[in-house]
Amino acid sequence: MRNKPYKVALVGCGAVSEMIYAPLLARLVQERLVEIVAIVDPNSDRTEKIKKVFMTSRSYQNISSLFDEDFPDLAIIASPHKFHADQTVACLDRGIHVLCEKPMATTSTDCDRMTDAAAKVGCVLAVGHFRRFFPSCELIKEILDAGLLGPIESFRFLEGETFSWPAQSGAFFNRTESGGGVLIDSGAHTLDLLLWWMGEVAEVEYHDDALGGIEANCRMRLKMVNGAEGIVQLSRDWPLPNRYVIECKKGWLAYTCDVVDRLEWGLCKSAYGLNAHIQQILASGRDARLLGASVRSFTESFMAQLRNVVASISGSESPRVPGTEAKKCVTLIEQCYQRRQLLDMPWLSEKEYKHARKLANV
Amino acid sequence: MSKLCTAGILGASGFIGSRLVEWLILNNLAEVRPIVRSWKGMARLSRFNLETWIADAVNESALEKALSGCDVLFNCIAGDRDVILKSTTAAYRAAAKAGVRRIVYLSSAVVHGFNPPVGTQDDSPIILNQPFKYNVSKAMAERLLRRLRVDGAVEVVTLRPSIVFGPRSVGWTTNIALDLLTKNAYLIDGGSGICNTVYIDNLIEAMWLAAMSDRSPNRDFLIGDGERITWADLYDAVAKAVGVEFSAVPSIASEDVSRIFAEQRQAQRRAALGRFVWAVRESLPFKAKASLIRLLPPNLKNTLKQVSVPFSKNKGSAMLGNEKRSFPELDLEIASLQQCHYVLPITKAKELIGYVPRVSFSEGCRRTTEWLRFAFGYKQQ
Repeated sequence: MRNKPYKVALVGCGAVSEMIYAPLLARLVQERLVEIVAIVDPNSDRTEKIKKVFMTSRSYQNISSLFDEDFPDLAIIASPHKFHADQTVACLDRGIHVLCEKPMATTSTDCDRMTDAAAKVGCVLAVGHFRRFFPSCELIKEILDAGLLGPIESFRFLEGETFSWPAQSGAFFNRTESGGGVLIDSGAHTLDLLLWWMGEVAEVEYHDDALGGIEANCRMRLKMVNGAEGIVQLSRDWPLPNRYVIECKKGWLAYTCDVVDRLEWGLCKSAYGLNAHIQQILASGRDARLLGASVRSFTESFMAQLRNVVASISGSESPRVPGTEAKKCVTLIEQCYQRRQLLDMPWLSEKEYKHARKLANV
Repeated sequence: MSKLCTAGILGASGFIGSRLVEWLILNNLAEVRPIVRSWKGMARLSRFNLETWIADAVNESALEKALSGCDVLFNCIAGDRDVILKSTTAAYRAAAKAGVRRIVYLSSAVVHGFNPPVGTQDDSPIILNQPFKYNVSKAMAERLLRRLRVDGAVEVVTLRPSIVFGPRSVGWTTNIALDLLTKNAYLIDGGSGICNTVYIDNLIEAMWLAAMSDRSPNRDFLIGDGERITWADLYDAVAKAVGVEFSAVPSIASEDVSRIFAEQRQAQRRAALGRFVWAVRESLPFKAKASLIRLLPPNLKNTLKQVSVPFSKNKGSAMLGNEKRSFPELDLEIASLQQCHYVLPITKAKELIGYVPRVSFSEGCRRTTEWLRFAFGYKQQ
C-alpha cells in the first residue's frame, strides 16, 4: 500500500457527482486514500458547487485543459453518455486509470476502443455498475452459480418509476448525448445484472415507445444461451413493481430493486416463501454457523465500488466490473436498438397509432 | 388552415399536459411547445422530437420568453394553493406580453363542491367556502382569472372537468387500482353515487375545441363524458383490469362516514403516541427508564402502558404498522365525492364549442384497462 493518496479527477459535475461521488470521495479524502485534484465540467456553476467540497482542487472546463496542468492517477468519468468513450480513451492514453459511469459507452465499437486503450497501457478500466456490490445481488449470483434452485427456467424483471433524478441538464433527453432513453440509462443496470446472473443472450425481441425522440418505456423478450426465457420491462414514465423474479426448476428468487439486504425465495411446490434478511457471516465452519452484523447499505455499496477501484490500481484487487465485462451490456443495448419495434399501445386510437408508427420510423 | 397554430402547454409533464402534447402531435393539429419546470420533467415528453422549454410557472419573465410566438396557452398547472394562484397570474400576464391570443385554463368541477346541488350548471356561482383546500384553490384561481381578463389582453376559456380517468391518471385510475390490490378500496353506499367521469381524451378534445372555437372566449364550461356513471361502475372497471373481485370491495353507509372517520383519526393518534412512547422507552437506559416511569402520575402511567403495548411486543411488525384494521382507512375527500347524486350537464359545451364526448365510458375503460395491464407489468407483448 502506498503512502501517498491517489490523485483523482472528477469529470462531469451532474447530479451523480454532487449527490453520490462528492460525499463519498470526501470520506476517502479524510482517510487519505485519495486526493481530489481536479474537477471538470463546462458549466462553471457546477464545478464551483463541487469545489465547495474539495477546496484545494482546481476546476477545468474540459479534459484537454486538465491534461495541460494536472496528472491525476484516476479519472472518474461521470459526464453525459456520449463523452464516456472519448474522455476515457484520452485518460487511458495518458496512463490515467478510469472509473467510467454506466453505460460504459453508447456503442460496442466505442467499448472496444476503451478496452483496447486500457490493455495497451495496462491501466484499470472499471465501469460503474455498482449494483454488483449490493449484498443481495451478490447472494443471488452465488445461489444461481451454485445451482441451489436448479437451472433457471424463466425470469421477469420489471423496473421503473416516474423520472425523478435531479438532472442538471437536458443531456438525458437528447439521443445525441445520451444514446437513448430508459434502456441505456437505468436499463444499463438492469441488463448488467441480468447478464451477470444468467450469462449470454441467444435471442432478443425489443419494443419501445420512442416517437422520433427517445424511449420512456420499453419491453424486451429474451432467450438466454442457458435456455432461460423472460421479459424485461423498463419505464421512466411510470412506476413499475420494481421487482425481478427468477424461476428455477426447483425454486424461485425475487429481488426488489435497490434493496441491498433482503431477498425473497421459495421452493416451487411449497405454499411458503422466505423474506430473508441478509447478514454477514460472523463465524463459519461446521460447528459454528453464526450470523453477525448487517450488510453494507446502498451508499456503502457504492463506496465498496470506489474502494475496489482504488485497490485495483494498487494491484491488491481486480476491478469487479472491468470494461470487458461492461461491454456485454452495451452490446445487448445496441442489439435492442437495432431490432427495435414500436411498442403496442392499444390505449391510443387507431389514427394515433398509425401516426405513431410514422414518427417511430419502424 | 394553412399554418398549424403554436400551442404552449404549461404543466406539460403532468397527466393531462403530457397527454395533450401527445394528442396534438399524433393528430397533427398544432406545433407543440411543452413548458416544464425542470429538466426531469422532460422524461415523458422526450419520446417526441420536440423542443421543450424550461420555465417555472410562477416566473412571469421566464414564461414570457417561453410563450413568445405561441397562439394559444393551455394552462394545466397542478400544485398547492400558492402554485395554483401565482401561476394563474404569471401565466396570464406573460401570455399578454407575449401576444398569446387565448388561454385555455384547466379548472375543475370541484369549484361547485364535491357534491354539487341539483341544478348546478356552468354559470352557477363558484363556491369559495368549502372544507377542502384544493377546491378552494381552484375556485380562487377562477375568480382571479376573471379579474385578470377584464383588461381584455388575452381571451380566456375555463374548463371544469370532474373525475378525469384514463392512462396515467394517478387519482382516478392507478390509485383506485392500487387500493383495490391492497384491499384499501371502499365504496360509499355500494358505489351508488354519481361519478362525473371524463375520459382523458374527451377532455383533451374539449380543450382543443375551446382553443379553436369562436364562441368559447371568456366563458366557463363543465366537461364530462355525458353518461350516467356510478362509482361502482368505475371501480368495477378498474377491478376487472387488475384482476380483483369487485364484490369483495367493502361498502359503508353514508350516514356512518363521519363516525368511522372520527374513530379512525382517534386510533391513528393513539398509534402515533404509542410509537413515540416506544421510541422513548427503547432509547433510554434501563435505570433511567425505571426512574422516569416512577415519576409519572398513575393515570398517565396507565395510559402510556396501554398505548405502548402493541409496539413493544414485536418491534419489527408493529413498527411496520401491521395492526389489523376492521375497515380501510377513510379519505374524507373520496368519501364526499362518492356521495354525489347529480350528473353535471355538458349542454353548454355541446352547444357553444361543439363538444361531443367521442370516447364512450366503456371504450375509455377498455383503453384504460389496456394501459393498466401494461403499466402494472401484466401484459406480455
